[in-house]
Amino acid sequence: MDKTIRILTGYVIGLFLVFGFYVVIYGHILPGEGFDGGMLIASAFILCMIVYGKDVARKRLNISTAITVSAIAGLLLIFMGFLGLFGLREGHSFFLDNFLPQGDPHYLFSGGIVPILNILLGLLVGFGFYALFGYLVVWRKEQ
Amino acid sequence: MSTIIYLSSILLFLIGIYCVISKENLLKIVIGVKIIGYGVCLFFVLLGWKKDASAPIIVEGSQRVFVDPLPQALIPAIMVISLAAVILMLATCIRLYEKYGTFDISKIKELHG
Repeated sequence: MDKTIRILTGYVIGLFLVFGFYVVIYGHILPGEGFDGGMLIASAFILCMIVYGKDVARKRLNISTAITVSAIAGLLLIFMGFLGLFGLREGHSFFLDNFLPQGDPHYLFSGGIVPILNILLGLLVGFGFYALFGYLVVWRKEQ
Repeated sequence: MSTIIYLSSILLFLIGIYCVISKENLLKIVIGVKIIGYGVCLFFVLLGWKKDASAPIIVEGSQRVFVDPLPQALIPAIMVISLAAVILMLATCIRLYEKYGTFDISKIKELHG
């Protein structure tokens, strides 16, 4: 890409990442949640890969690292669901039970396990879609 | 006033369609598809808008006028899914650029039916 897009992308990528993590962390009190913020995080890396080329982007964040982070986040998401089965709250034992104290609405530290699930989902979607795009661009058929 | 806003979202949709069918650069076609998506999203967000309303979280002592929560739940999902489609399109564009060395669809002529 030409020089204008390169310089502008350098400024924009940081804003993309900050806004993505903002949407993820405030997912339980504002519109948008882990999936949307994760997509913003992924789009920052994908913009880097389109503008600067795939080698620069792979040097910043390796594709195998991205898919490892995504897989670990997904497994932790399922693990948080199964924690609800152990009856940590009196009289409630089902999948994805909200066993943490729930706090006051409209505050950041509220909602029980929902913010944790949002952050895990954001990592899963963000790094997962970056890895998906990377594999679609980089992958070659072995001769 | 609200009619003008609705018409502007329809205008955005039509600009996107014009961009898709008239441009010959692949990246501009992708941008056109995103503009179509934004037109639809803007229309749904405006359907849920209400004056002097608060976020749809019902607690003790909160006011009783809420905006429609359905677009607020649906529109981010729609935007994200369309972004996933854009990822697929961009990956295809990069593959085509590696093979043909151009983004111009009138020069990519090896595709026979």
